[in-house]
Amino acid sequence: MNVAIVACREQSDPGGRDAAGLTFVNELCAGPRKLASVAGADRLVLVLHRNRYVLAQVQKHTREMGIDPVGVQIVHWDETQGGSHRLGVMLAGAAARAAVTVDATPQQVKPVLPVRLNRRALLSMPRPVYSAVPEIDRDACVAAEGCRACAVECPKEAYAWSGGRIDYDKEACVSCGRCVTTCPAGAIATPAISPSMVHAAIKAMVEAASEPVGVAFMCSRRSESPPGPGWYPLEVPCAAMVPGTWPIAALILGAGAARIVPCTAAGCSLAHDDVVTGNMDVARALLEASGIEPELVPQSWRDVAKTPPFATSTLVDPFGVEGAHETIVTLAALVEHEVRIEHHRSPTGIVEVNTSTCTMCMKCVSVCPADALSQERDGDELLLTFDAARCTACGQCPSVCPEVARGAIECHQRIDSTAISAGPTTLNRATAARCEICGEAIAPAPMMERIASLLGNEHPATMGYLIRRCVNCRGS
Amino acid sequence: MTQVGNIARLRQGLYRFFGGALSHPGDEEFATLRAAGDVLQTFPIADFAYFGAWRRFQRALAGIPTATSLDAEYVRLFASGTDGALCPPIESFYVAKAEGGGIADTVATLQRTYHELGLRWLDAEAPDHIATELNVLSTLCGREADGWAADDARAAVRDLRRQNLFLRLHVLAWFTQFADRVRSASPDGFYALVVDAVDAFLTHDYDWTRALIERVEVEA
Repeated sequence: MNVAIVACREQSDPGGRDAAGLTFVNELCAGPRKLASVAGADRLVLVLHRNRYVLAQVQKHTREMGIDPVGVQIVHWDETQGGSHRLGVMLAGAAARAAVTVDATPQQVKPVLPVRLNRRALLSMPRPVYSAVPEIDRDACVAAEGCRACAVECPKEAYAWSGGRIDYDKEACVSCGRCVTTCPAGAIATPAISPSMVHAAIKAMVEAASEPVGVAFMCSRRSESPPGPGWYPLEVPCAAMVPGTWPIAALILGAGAARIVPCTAAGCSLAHDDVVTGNMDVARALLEASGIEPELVPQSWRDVAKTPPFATSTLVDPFGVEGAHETIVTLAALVEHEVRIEHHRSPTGIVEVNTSTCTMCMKCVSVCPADALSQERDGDELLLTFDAARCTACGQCPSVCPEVARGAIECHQRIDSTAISAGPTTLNRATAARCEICGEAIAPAPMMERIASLLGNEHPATMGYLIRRCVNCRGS
Repeated sequence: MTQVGNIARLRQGLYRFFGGALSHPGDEEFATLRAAGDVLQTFPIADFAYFGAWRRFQRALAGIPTATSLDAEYVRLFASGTDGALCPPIESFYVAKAEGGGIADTVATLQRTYHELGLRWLDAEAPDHIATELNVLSTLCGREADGWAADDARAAVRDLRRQNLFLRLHVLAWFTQFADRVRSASPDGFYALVVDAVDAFLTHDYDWTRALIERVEVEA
């Protein structure tokens, strides 16, 4: 993948001009058509001056280069941000991120027009700007099983669950990306951000920097940069999409500090600060439970630690659909003891079953979007098993349990490294009641017992049929 | 003419052009298609997200020497075969199957829609052929452009609504399945590039019409 890094030549930092692979173009911000002089690139990183370029023009000329503008990484730079070393680290991150971008499908972009178009606006309507939006992979989506995690998480009601299908309203979507990190099946993707883009950017910045790096997960719509030194922005569509385990993963990958930067003070109308604060709490609680200084994920800007908390460790896919689990298990291994917290924004969960009230009806299994709950067989017994390494604490299981009022099942928003490492465990087991005629299984024995207890002695004949004979043999 | 009116004219041309690209390629039609493509190149298509797919298709079109070289591929994919066409370019094949109705129901619905829109079906292709449906949208875009030119935003928005509804109820209800069939049957062929370009354009046009409908202020 050939990534070209092109900078507007109003740069006043002479050191930046020496950075490897940097091509300067005079007045690029004012005249992006000059991008035509850069040939042969597959991907593009642009170093531009904030508020001095028109995004629609940049997108147009990028398109003419044969490059998908949605994947272009724009680094806003001016001399007040620091010297050439800082620019070099930011460019390393942006180039790594650009290299793993995937072209947007037609469904993954939408034109963004002014809010109102009156007669005057229609006469001189500016070029459209395109914004990346999520797309649902219908083959991977588990809405048919009852999952509606995206609809619950979306702050703009762009998703709606109806009859086992998620309807997505592109026009209502504000591209915040919360659905992407919430989907337990990994079925929603946006070209604006992907697990591999985040992973590549952090690794590249850590490798390029000569000092510990502070990773600031920031909304791409914010107009200011982190007040260095040591802090580097990692732009995401919205700070609220960043789960609490992402800052921890950044630390494990070698960052000296990490934080999720809230936006309300910067004028964001979405006002997701409660979500951001909750996710930051999760990260800090995880560090505390690990015996590590929580200020490595600070709530406000502070100096980046002189040395990273861990020797850089390998993570396979810490920002993907099962990344939270991988991060927690790796953290526990690094500190060599169990990590366990309970928090309402926990990205992982633990399901517990009360074996005296669970009837083994398996409705919870049928709706679990992450396949954390499953039904197994052990000889003549039915098993209800749970794999904490898959659970995303979505809460679907108690919502469908017919015995939830009797405490049959609970989904705890809990992070538990031991449980995640343990692999599938059996939550409940039961034999099946069998037909006295053909021997086929009728239903789990606890379910039959529950029905019997509900019917009492009022319908002994009905009970006799239900308990002793299968559907096919009841007429015999 | 307003800027949005100019864009409506461009969209009118693109619909007609894509309709032509998915019709049977006779010598005369092919020459017209090429000429139309050259004219459309002079419009600012790079302003829009579908430019990449459009350009790939244009380059492929420029590399086709004559209509005859497309003839066999067109017939194989869209017209006939031992078991029928591989990728029937007609709505009823997809929609009637999904909804359990007959082919006649789909065609009758379309003919009623054309009548309500004040259109008469004169195309060489069937009423539910992709080329016919794209030509209907072209006509509606032309009416929209006329509305903008006459400074009649109410009429223009009415035609935008009609385009959006026709896209949702008809073209987009089946085009994706059709395009997937074409890509599967001829992954490296000319018509895979055609459906890629049409797919990108239709998706964009649905979003575009919807965004305009929501935003244009129509004076009382």
